[in-house]
Amino acid sequence: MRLASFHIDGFGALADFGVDEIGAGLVVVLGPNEAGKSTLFDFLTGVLFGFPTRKDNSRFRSPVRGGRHGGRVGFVDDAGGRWVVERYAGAQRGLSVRLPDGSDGDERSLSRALAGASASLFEAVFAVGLNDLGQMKNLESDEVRELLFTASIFGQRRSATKAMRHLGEARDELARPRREDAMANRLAAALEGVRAELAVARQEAGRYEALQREASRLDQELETMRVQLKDLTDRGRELQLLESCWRHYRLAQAARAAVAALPPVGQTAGVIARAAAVRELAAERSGHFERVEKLEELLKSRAALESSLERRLARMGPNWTRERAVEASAPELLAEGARAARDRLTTRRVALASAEAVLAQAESLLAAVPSEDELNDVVPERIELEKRQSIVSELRDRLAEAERLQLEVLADERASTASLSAPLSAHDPARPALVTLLVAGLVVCAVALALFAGHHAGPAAVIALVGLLLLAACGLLSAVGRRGRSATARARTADDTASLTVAWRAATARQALLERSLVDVAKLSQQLGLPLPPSRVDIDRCAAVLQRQLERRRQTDDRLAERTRAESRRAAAAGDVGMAFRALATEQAAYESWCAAHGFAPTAQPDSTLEAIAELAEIREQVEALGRIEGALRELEASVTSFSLRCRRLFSSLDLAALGVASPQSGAGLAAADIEATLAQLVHLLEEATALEANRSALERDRASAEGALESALGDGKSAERMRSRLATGDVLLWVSERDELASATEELRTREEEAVRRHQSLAEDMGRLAASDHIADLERRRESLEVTLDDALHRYLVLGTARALLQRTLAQHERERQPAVVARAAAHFERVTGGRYVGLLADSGIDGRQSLRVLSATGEMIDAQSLSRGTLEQLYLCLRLGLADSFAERSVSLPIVLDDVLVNFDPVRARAVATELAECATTHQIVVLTCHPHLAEMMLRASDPLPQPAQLIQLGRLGEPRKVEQLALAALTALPDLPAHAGEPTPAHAATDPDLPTAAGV
Amino acid sequence: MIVVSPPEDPGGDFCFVHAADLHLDTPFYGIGETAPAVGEALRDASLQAFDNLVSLCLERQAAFLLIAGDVYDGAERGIRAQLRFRDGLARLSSAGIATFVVHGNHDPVDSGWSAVATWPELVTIFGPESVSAVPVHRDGRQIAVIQGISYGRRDVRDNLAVRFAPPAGAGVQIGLLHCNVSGAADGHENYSPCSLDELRRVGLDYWALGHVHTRSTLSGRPFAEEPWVVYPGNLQGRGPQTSERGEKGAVVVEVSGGRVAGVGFVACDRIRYASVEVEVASLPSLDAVHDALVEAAAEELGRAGGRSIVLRARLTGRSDAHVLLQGGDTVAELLASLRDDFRPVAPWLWWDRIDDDSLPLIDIEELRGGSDFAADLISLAEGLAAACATPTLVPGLEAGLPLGLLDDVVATLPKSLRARALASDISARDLLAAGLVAALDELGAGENLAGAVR
Repeated sequence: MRLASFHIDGFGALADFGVDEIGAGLVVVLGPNEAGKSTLFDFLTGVLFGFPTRKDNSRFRSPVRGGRHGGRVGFVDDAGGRWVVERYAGAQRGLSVRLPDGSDGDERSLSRALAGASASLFEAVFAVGLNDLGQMKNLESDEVRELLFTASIFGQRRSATKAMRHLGEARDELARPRREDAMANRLAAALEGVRAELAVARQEAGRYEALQREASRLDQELETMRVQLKDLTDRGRELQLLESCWRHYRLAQAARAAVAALPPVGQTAGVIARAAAVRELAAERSGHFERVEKLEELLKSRAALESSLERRLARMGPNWTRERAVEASAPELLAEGARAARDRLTTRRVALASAEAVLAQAESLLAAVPSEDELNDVVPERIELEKRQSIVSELRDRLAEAERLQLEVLADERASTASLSAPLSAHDPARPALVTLLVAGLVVCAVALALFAGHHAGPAAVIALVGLLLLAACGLLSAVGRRGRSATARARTADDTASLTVAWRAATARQALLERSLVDVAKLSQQLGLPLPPSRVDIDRCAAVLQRQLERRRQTDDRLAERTRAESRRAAAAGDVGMAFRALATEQAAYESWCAAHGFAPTAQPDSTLEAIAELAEIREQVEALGRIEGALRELEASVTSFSLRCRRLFSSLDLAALGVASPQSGAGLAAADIEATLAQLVHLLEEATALEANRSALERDRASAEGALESALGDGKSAERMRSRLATGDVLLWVSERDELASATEELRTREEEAVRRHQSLAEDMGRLAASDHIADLERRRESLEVTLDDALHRYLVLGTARALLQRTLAQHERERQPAVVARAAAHFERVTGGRYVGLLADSGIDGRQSLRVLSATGEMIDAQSLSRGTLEQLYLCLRLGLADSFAERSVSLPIVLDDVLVNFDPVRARAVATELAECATTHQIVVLTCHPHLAEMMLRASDPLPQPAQLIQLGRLGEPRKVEQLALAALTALPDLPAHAGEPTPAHAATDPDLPTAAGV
Repeated sequence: MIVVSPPEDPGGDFCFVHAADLHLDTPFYGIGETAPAVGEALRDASLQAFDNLVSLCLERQAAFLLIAGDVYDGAERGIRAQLRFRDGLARLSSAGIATFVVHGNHDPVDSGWSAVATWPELVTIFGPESVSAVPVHRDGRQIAVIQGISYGRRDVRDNLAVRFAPPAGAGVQIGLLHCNVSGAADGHENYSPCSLDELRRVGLDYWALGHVHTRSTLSGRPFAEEPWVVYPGNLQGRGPQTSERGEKGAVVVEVSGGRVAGVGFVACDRIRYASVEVEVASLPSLDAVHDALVEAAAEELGRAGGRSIVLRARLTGRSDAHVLLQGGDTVAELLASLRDDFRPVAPWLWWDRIDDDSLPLIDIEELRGGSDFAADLISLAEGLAAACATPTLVPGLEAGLPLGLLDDVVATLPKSLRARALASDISARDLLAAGLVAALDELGAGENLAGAVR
């Protein structure tokens, strides 16, 4: 491939600067210092392989004259395809690649076009500056070596070194010494842990059989211990029984001895035999003395009461004695009867006064009401008035009916008249008379009604009769007339006959009805005394009069009823007065009779009687009190007498003298003081004797109880006899000692038993746990899992290690076998460059992997490259790079070589030789030489002049000056300006010196 | 004499059950990390399979049960296993079903210890000294004579079959033995070796054998060919090996008229091992690989008859997916993704592992014919493989790899792990092949070629 164009948008000091067409072969870029040659060098590398990412990198070259940081480079691949690579620094998508077919590519396609060369490779071999030229180290990196030696058909395949490194890393992740996080290390550690755990678990499980044996042994041991324990327990129980029985035994023995030691009963036996009597009398003696005192008090009370009683009886009257007072009814009842009689008398008297007051009030009311006669003269009876009201109502109906009928009759006549011919009507001579009669009749009837309404019944009836006669005459004439008109009509036309007949019949019927109605009206008017015919005014007036009369009748009836009630009340009040009076008299008689019956004065008022009854009650109470005192006196006297007799009998039954007790004075009675003294001594004796007997009895009971307990505890039989024999020995200390020994032995045995039981339980638990445990199975599974995983990891490790080893060996083999071709090419270049002074080159790899170069001089001397002068060494390294580039191009693609003023340290002869060699090489590689020396540019151009592909010159102006890019051919060399020397411009180091002499720097 | 009491068939027919290689309460091998529920199930599977065997005997009302060795996995017999075994036999004994047991190389009589003080009444454990014969009676009639002998020690290289006596007495004549009949025990130790002819010569009706975990009937046809020589296989698969995959259980032997009428297999296993092979040649993406694995697993689960399965997958073929699978922890992530779907509800499916044996779309021949680094790499690897002293699956990388290369391979391996790694069952040749593929993958050769092919 070759560079075809470039355009710098902004890069270092260059901005918007480029060359549109760069030819193949040798390209010389000439420019003064600060023209931007080094910047262009970095730009080309950066676009093809990427810009440095760190801004502090000197090759980062931020644009200082504007423009976007980057630009584009066009190149032509070996097949003639044109590529355009545009790259800008910093941007995420800073790279764009346009492929020869116009499509877009990417970093991979660019890498493929560059035959997988990396930036480091490119900079080491293909882009060389003066500073790099003299150093070998750039050529010694593994990647450069490996890429140079292993370039293959896989244009974009990975680096074998990278592959080895990757495989090594992957392998190290699987296993590596002292790397705990490596998978196999970790698994191996885990596996060891599980194995150890498994060993422990297996060891534990292996104990099962021993545990079984131990459990069996413990079973037997426990059984033995239980037998021993039972024996010890039995013996201990016997000793315990002995001890418990020993107490009873000893008690029985002691009780027997104590009873034997008690004194005999002797004279106190009589006292003990009469202990009940003695104690009873002793207990009663204080009551005896009290009764004696009480007796005397009662006698005094009885005398006082009798005196008071006599005085009260005297106040009651001569008829009253103590017996009568006692026999009389109970004072409470008497007082109740007296109070009742008093209350009844009071009630009767109040009732009489009340009845008399009511009677006076009734008479007063009766006197205020008019008499019945006076009231009855005012209006007719109510029934009469209501009858008349109904007649008036009927009269109104009849009269209305008569008027309606009359109007219908008149209508019939008009209809009849209309049906007949007018001439016929004109020829009815009766018609005016009829009208006149009718009007007159009606007027007369109206007058009669008016009179009737004005309460002139007589004249009204007469006038009404006249009116009715007139109306009857009118009707008669009308009927005659109609019959005459009918006959005429029948004569006039046969067609009207039927209708006239019907009309006539209806008119006749209504006429009859009218007549009956008028008769009824007349009758009713007559009953009401209304004139005939009655007018409606008469009727209304008559109805109003009847209504007023009816109202007055009602008022009169109310007054009559009121009077009747007043009379009834007066009669009732009079009756009540009589009854009250009689009741009072009866009550008074009853009271007097009651007083007489109970011994009280009948004339006395009830209150006096009540006072007498109260006195009677006092008397009765005193009588009763006297009786009670009498009774008490009798009881006391009996008690006192009885007590004395019982004492006497007791004292006489005892030999008081033998007992040492003072005997009371005998006589009619025993003095209380004597009784007291004797009884006190007897009681004392009795207490002493009783205590003695109680002690004896208690001892007997104790003995019996102890004997019973022994019987119960020991039972009978030989064992009991043996126990009794041992009890009889009474060697308690021996028993206690023996029991203590047994207890100690039992305790020890129990402890051993408990320990054995615990051990047995523990064994059982261990055995159960082991039997149920899936721990071993689980551990086995974990172990197997770990082993499988570890084996997998190791297998993977082996594969990776083998892969890496194969790569390593292949790489070494490749390096050995391929290197000679590279070195041979480099040696050929070097021989030409040095004009045959050096004819061979040898590259060796040291033990440490570092390479060393030796050159073979024409004289056969092998010289270490590092011993050469700087210029010669730089020529050697340049030749080596040319050889590497040739080899790379041979196996992949031909990459352009960019050299930045690499000839400045060469002498003119060697410089021309190098220029010639570069021109030769440019026939297979595009070689871009950047230089600030016009003579070197000329030298390059001249070197290429004989070749088919002439060199191309690109001239740059100084930065800051107007940019001038010219592409010149050799023919234009004469026009090249003499570029002024610039301060700091490198000067040929040994232009005039022996090129083979090492420089100080070279050394 | 053993008297059994299951109800007799009116015609005198009965059945017995023959099982072997119970390996009770022993770990499964070859299984890596598992979910807790799976771990528990795997741990208990052998015991539950034995429970199933006991239930089978009870359901079929078998006259007796024969167990042909390797009841336990090793001398270090688990207590849980021993007591579970005792309890199961007690259930059978209570039901009147006798059990006859011989011990094999995994549980020889003279090693280990017994947590069982006394065996149930109808249990017969044959001793190791000599072949014993035990007649079996039912309803006063002898229905079978069972001869058997246990292993006294693990390493029994004697031919125990020749010690068996010719038929004696009435009933079916049965030999109970843990042995290796020539040609039957592929991959098994050659304990108590014997030949089929030697078994035939004894003249028994039925040889109830154990030791070989793959179920097989070496001889016998109903009412036709005798003797029956049967390996029932182990009761529960124990690992991902071929012999441990598929259904596992016991055989029910029907006896009619005093002769073996037929042998039927009944699965007793609780968890089944299975493997699927997925060809990735037509699968361009990881999602497609994932889906293909899920589909294959579903089919495998459907074939397990309601049992849970532990599944191992192998990816084969050349595919673009190879490059994706080789990237970083892709296979591990794929496995984790598949395990994410695990639900601990039976029947479940546990992805044990995925072996990526896929190859890149590399034309090795083309690469080999080149003159570049890859060609040199291939040439080097193949040259080393050709020079391997032991080109087969014989373990021992030290004997197979050149010393210098071996040192480089295990350069950073801790010494404590070196012996284990070198004892790997992978051959030097296979390791070189795998290393070559890994190296080419690492170089991106496959990626490049894949691109070229596309």
